[in-house]
Amino acid sequence: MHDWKEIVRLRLTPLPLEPGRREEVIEELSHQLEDAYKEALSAGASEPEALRRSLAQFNDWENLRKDVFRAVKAEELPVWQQRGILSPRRPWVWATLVLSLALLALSGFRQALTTLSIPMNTGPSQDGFFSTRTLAQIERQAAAQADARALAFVALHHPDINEAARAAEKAIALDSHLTWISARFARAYPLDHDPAPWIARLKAWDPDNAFPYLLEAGAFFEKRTSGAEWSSRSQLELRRMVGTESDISVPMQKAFAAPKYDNYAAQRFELDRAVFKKQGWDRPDLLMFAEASQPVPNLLVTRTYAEYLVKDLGESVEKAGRNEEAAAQYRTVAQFGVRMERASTDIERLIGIAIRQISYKRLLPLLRLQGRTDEAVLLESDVADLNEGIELTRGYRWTERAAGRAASLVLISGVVVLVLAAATLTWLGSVIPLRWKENGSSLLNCFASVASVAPPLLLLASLSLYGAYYPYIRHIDQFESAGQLARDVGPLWDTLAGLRWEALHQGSWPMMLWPTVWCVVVAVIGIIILRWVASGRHDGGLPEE
Amino acid sequence: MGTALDRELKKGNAELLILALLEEKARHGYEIGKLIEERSEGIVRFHVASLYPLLYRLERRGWLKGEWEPAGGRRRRFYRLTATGRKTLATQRAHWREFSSAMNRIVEVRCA
Repeated sequence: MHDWKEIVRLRLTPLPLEPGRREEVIEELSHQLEDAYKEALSAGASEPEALRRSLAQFNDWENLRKDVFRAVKAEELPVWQQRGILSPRRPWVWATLVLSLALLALSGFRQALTTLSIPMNTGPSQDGFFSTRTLAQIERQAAAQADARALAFVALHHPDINEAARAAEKAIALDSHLTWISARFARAYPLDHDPAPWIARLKAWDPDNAFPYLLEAGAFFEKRTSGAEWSSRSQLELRRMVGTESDISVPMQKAFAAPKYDNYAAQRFELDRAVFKKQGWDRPDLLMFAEASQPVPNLLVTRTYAEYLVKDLGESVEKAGRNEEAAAQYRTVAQFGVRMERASTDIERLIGIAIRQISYKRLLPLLRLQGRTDEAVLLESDVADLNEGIELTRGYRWTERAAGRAASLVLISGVVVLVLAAATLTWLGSVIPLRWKENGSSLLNCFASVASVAPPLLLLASLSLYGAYYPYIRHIDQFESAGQLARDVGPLWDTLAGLRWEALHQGSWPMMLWPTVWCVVVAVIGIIILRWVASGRHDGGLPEE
Repeated sequence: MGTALDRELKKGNAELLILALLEEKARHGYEIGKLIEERSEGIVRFHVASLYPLLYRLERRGWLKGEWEPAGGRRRRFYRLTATGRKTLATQRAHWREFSSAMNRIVEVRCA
């Protein structure tokens, strides 16, 4: 004979009712099983079949346990008494939480999480990239330790140009090899800033470098065209201005004649990385944005001056029949293009290519005209190389597209991880007190029951974030140059910064804030109504078979 | 009866069925389940896993009262209507009559 009460007790435990009421429920349900069993036997079923039919009446004991508790006590079964797959009694739920926390031990995952805190602005003149508080702290430490490199770092990245200049003076006084940081002050903005002393210092320190001369010409051009309607001027007018106004043409002439072109990007990258490492910032994103504020010469002036040399001066020399002199002029321009092309930034490389193309366009027919076929063939080969350089740029754009897709996934996963982390904390905040006092609060119990899905979902979202970011995980030591940094992870971080900027500044967030709040309110009301309707069905509806 | 329509018709009437069955005399859970099945000739059947929670709920509301009584050599829990339960039954029955009468007037109409 079966012990029906024991069968029910085993399946319905724990049932946290008063002991007397619990025993009544167990006894009553055991009678139901026994009656069904006897009826099946009397209908001719075998004993095992009768037992099977009897037990089949309650195919979901966990649900029955919850329903009985809810019916008797008018509240949810305490979360620590639940045995569903998301119950805190299940070790796997805690395992998902531990795994999510374990992911934090991976530097790649931590890097992925920083996607939500990347800076919005990247220029040295903009506030907020490195906080002034952080920079002040670095400066204090650097001054105490006579650390010229850290002072130079402050000079390069302080948003206040006067503070930056003060740090720069200290850094250069400690180590004159750092005079290249003067380039940071060689632009004509802000308007009350005078770049001339800094440019003069840079030229005196590095006279063979084209870069300071280009900065000088650019600074004058920027002051000259500030607020003027220069953008509406024709190419010809611009060429004449750049070629004939001595404040521009003299430094440009020196720049094109200088034996080297060094924009100090390599020194700057090494310095920034050293300070990052000293500060414990393994943040390729911050390093990339720090390098993005690298000063570049005024590219319009540079290109326009190259066009002036080729199209205006070169053509007039050709017309005068001095072909050798014209060819030499074109070659000077092309050689400058080659030097500029070797610079680390893509924009300088592209301008270098453009300058060579401007030069070759005149030089090639001139060489053929002179019958110098061998030289012309060599030059044609150079032109092919230039086209290859442009193709590389196209390849970079393809990388940007792939990175754009990855960026969207990383951003969405990151936001979901944040939301679920908050939900998991809520769950923990409810579950832990209830562990010691199971019937402590029905509100906490409700939170704990609803949020029980958060820990496993947090793990899934974290894995999704990690997976999407995985191809871009790098230590800052893994980059050889700012250029490699920009090529490898630049498209991803640029897109991420752009997505966030668009969301915050182009109306998406403000536009989406109240609709989102509204949706959340509607969802909460909807859940409450659904639960009320469901409880009404339990109360008044005929149960389904 | 078809499943979708069947489900719709069942909604909201479980309480009425139980209250009605207990109007005549006190009954235990197994008997209630069997009676619903027998009297509806097998068309309406209760899932037992839902029947007992419903009985406990009605008892908590004070519409039923459950008491242990001897039956067949063992004790069984019998449910009987309380005064509140009788009033509720009267109200629900009246609503049901209105509803079914309205339905009949629509469904039973014949074209002249």
